Amino acid sequence: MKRPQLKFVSGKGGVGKTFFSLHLQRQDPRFCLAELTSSLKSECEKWKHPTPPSDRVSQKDLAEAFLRRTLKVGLISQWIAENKLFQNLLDLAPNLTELLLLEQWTQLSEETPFVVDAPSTGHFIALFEAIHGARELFESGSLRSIADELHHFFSATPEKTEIHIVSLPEQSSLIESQEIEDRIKALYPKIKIYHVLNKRHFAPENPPPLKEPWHSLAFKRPLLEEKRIAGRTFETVLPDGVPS
Amino acid sequence: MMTSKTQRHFVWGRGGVGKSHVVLKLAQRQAQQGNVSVLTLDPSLRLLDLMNAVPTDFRTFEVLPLKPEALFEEFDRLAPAQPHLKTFYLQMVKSLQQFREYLQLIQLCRFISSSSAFSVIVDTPPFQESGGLMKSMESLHSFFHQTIVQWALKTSSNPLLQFGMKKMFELTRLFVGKRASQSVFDLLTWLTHHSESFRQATDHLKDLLTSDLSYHHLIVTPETPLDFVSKAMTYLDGAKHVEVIINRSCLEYPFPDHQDSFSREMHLQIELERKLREGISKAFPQVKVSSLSLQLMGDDSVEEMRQFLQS
Repeated sequence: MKRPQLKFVSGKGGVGKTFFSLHLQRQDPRFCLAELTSSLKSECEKWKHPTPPSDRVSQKDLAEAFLRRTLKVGLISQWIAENKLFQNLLDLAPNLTELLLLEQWTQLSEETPFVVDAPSTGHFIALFEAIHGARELFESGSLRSIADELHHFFSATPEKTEIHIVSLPEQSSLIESQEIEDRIKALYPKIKIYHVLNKRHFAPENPPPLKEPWHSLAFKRPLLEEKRIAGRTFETVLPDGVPS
Repeated sequence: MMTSKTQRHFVWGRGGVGKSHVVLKLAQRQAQQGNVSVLTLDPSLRLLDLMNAVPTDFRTFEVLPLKPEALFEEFDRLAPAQPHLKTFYLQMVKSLQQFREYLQLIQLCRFISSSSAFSVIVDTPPFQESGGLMKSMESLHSFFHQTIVQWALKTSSNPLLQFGMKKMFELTRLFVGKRASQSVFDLLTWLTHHSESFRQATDHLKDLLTSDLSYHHLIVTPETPLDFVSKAMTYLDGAKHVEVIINRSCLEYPFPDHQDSFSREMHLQIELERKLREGISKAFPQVKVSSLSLQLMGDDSVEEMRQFLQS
């Protein structure tokens, strides 16, 4: 059985994707962290953790390398890569970045396993839908080849990938997590999906006077959360986000 | 410059900070002064779901999703497209998120410049993705202002130039194949009938953020790092009205000093909020900071929404 080499972490915005990505990487330091935003540094500062090795991707470099690869003739591609109009067109090409990023992560993960601190729901689903979009829209060409390779990676070797969906015990977050699972399963049913529950609250031991304005927050909140998560399975439950 | 006197309110924030709730609260307040339209650019369309929780007596404004399909119909009525183009366009809209975003931005500009509402409130995508939105705005604007593009659009009826453009476009076959390359070329040729409309819309993109009528509401929580506020301020450089709203503020609660996880969580939130406020007032003394108190939320029920809108 092959070990997973690419772990994506997604979920609704603000659920603790970076926090959990960091947690996964610390569990297995062989993994490198890949991030699209710069939230990793501030998350490490918040919890006073040393920053693990991470890979920040320059989208411009990716696009230029892609252009060179497609056009083959070095001099022409260099001229085009430096041309303002073409740089602008590369910026505008819909979902080009998504495809190139996915390609880079799948390729690099053959050497070094990656935890990808991925975007939230809509933009995460768009990463995978970009593969299908390109396969539907383009019958040949370099973008189609990339989409085919990615499709092969996720459908023929699904054991190489894991998706971890982080939720908070809140209605909207739980609904979005389900949406991610449904949409990814419709595209790649064999990829393993794990659910993570973050910031589950528990009632304090000391009963406060009922008149206190924070009484319902302290005591009602855990009960409401219990009700919302009833019937759902989470492979990981994280504490309430406060370091002890 | 846009001529509409409509106020534009942009609500920005990282995911999960309560942005959609604040959009609805702002809409309900603005609706006390005139007609309000709320437009959403968030691909998760969370706002539309949340509208179901708004009590009927608070539904004093309209929420409009921007649908790029409608833009095609509108242009098609003015200059009919070849039948295969509609399929291609709809396929692009369906499968390419970024293409959808470009069209939505153009729709947003067109909507605001022709709106007679007192106020238009724009629900933006979560901030890390808004970075992409800002980049899209700049890229679209700069594309339509490239000399060669302007020249090509102005003279699109010139057959020699058409031929030259077509030859240049053949290069795209290497990327997307012959059939898709032809479809992209046909689509762009058809869109040149509407180039003026696109150019005007992209001209308005910058004005949209920085005009006197534009108000920016940056939603944060006590946990938001100051770095995020600084980054947002860079994006909003040139904007005249910027307000930071600290949602889920805990400062007004007299939490006990116990050692259980609830008390520790609340005290950590208070500590973080104080640091954040201090940081903002030092780095951005001109920015107004207001707050909304922490409430028991998470059910998205009508009762919960009523309490939030009344608070």
